[in-house]
Amino acid sequence: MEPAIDLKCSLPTEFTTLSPTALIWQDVLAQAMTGELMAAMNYTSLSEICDDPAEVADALEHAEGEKGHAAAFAAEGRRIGVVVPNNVNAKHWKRLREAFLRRITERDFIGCLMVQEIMLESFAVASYARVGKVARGSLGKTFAAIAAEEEEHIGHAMEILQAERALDTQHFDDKLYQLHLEVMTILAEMLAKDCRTGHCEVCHGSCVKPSLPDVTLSAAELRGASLHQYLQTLDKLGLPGEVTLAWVAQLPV
Amino acid sequence: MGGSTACLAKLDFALVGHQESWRAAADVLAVLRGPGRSPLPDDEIRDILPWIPPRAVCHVEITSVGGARARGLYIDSFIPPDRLQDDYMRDNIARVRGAAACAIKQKRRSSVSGVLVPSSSRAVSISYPKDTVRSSPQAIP
Repeated sequence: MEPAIDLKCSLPTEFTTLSPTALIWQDVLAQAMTGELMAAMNYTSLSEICDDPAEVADALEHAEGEKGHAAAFAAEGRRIGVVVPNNVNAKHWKRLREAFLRRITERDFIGCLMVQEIMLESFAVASYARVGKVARGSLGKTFAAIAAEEEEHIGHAMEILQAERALDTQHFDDKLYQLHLEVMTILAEMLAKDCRTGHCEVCHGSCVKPSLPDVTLSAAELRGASLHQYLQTLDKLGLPGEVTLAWVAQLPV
Repeated sequence: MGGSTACLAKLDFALVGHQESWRAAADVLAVLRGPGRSPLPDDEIRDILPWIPPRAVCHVEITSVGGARARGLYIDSFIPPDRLQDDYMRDNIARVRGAAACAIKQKRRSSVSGVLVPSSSRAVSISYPKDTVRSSPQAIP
């Protein structure tokens, strides 16, 4: 899979001085952009297993929306004088994509929604919302606006998932638990306080996590907010809180 | 998988509380994590716990001296043990309200007939996992 945007981190020549935080934002934007491009790929794949033309159109519309988000993040990078790289083949993102593709291979529409809407979008909504609160000006507004849009997506998917759960609760919850083990374990490793398993292959230099306090963020906060959002999404689906708490408590740190 | 369709037998009450020390919080998470996994490091617990929304943690059974039994649900508000002071009152009230909402939801699902919350942030203590109530909570009408 080719990255949509140049992975080289060369800076535009017209910017002779960068803000002290520009390189931190570059990495934050790179992670967000990679996530959006991967979401676009996921929705495109989803469209290929839909039978109903309306579902196909819906999935493709979502894919276009995610591409638009990626473009908006790239534009925010240019505004602060950095090129935002992306890498959907980076180690964590690649594993997330592979997990999604396994559901595609099985033509498992509901499994796809569980991975994309419950797990990946929870992470996106929570982390974008946090960034939206601390980033100044246009950058903050863009993150906040995209967080709101992603939350709408979740709302739409929740109706489908709630209806599916009502048909066979035990089967639904068993499937969700299996996907939780597969996907949330990868996300938990990705969101660990430090990248102890090596470079994430998205940050342009060393790991950005230790630098996040310079922009009043922290890896712990982003992880915590993501887990909070995920638990609340599971609550809305109707899963018992004591069960989902155990699921989260069992994730690697 | 840990029983997602948890027992929804009739519950007599829901009890809202929180852990009073990081040690107690660590014990709760260790039980949830299970014996096969290494315990969460203390710094991870301090990072994660404040983000957990209020939720049911375990079932509680209380037996009176006369032998009457009441079955309830313990809902932890997940107020961090280092945020019990007045400075955090607004946040803590929101958490207790969230826990009460959780109890109301359980009531719909399993006919909980009452919700108990601490009269102060330190009034109720649960010894986990034995579910022993050590002090008397006040009932909210």
